Amino acid sequence: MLVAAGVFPHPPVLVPRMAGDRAFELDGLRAACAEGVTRLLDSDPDVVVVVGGGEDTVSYPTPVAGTLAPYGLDLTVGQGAEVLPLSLTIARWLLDVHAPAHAPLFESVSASAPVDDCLELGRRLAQRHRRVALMVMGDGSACRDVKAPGFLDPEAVPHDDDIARALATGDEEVLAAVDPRTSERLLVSGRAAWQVLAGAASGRSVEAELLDYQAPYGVGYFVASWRCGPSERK
Amino acid sequence: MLMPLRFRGRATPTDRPLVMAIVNRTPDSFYDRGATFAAEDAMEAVRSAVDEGADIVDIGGVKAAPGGEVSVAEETDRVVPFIAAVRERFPDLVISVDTWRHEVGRWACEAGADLLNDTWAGADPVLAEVAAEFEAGYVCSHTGGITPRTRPFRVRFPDLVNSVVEETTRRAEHAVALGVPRESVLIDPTHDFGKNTRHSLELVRHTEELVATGWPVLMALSNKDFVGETLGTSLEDRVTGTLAATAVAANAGAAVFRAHQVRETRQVVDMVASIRGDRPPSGCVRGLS
Repeated sequence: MLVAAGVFPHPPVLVPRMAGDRAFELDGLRAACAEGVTRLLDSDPDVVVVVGGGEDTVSYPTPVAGTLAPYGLDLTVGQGAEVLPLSLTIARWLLDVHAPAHAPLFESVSASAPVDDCLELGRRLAQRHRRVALMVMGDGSACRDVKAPGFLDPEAVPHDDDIARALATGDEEVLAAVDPRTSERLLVSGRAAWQVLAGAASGRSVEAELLDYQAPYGVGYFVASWRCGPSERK
Repeated sequence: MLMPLRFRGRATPTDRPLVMAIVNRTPDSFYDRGATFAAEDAMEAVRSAVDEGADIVDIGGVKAAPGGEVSVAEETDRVVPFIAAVRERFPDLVISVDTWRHEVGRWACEAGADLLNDTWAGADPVLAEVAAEFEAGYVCSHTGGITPRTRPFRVRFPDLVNSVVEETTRRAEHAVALGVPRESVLIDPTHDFGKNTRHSLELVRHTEELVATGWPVLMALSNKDFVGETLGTSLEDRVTGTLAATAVAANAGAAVFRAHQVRETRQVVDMVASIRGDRPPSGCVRGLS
């Protein structure tokens, strides 16, 4: 069952070498990620499962690698075939930096997966072991302002604010209720992974903290830490 | 030497790359910020560009970045009468129109445009047919298929150069098949459109591979974000970086450079052409008298 979850951003610029001299602009976000990884591993899990959006829903065999070469930076993380999607590549990088000894399981979830499939995948992943820690990779809208990659959509900031509140309070029902079509329009890359989290945490009590929420480039980034306990009958 | 180009009968020099001057009839383009929105300011910009050595002027009515919607009618009002006025004053100048819409392209050709600069890579497939109808030139761009006036967001290319070569040459062959004269077709890797800074740098680095396709290569580098991000400079401080990239691409054989700084760009391409041995020095008496 789920004992802890951490929610993390996955822009390529999180990797300092990608950002170069402008890497400092995300120093705060990286520090929050470090804290999130520490808390996730402090939960004493039997297994860490990493879930992030991708083109398809895939359970990757280990060892497995990801590369930032398609984004213009010759950097590979992990060992083996370079097949991880961006979300899981950034997760592998975060773990390399903060917990190199860890050998997690990597699961991608299709960005177009229906809500119920995401919830079901979450429930299944949570049942993999007695103590499962879930590392959830997902970003908010890329349409938050006129300088954003997807330009300004007035619904973007309210959408991300709702996600931030849900992550801050451990409200998996709000995450489960995010509409896939709205997410697609708002260029939200985290929807499916958050709904996997919602499935995994369903029925568990959650002690949540939002460690960071920012959008310096017009894309919503979240870092959150959830500690999960025995279910509260509602 | 560069291959001979011809746009609706107007031939261009072959001993050096060409300079295409940017003249925007927009209130909000990223670099000039509306400086030539008014017709008289735009005409002055054309005159000045010609004086400084431009071979082509590229007239646009819609900024590339996201922003307020510009209707076909509004874009037409901005560029078509102006093209007619430029045609009248500069009968020999090659006039390009920067548009993705076939309606605007058609009216621009009727007003005297010679070249359709389809920066959004066939978003409106009829535009290439218009080029063929008027036997005008056509620019084949690479955007990776993104919608006009959108920005790149985590775009990935397993093999960027191959993607650019494949997409631009496919468009070029298609344009010729439609009836666009072969000597009037350019390919443009389209820096920053659907690409991040490393992608754009890679495309300058591999200019030779684009040149090796046999199609004349247009490079639109001027003051773009990839220059700014590479040097860590603001919009006002990208000219040196632009000119460095221009020199590298010119040395590798690129044929046309779209530029804000016409005089500086012309000096760079002339100098590089002379270093390559394509263009004789303007005057040469040192040690020879």
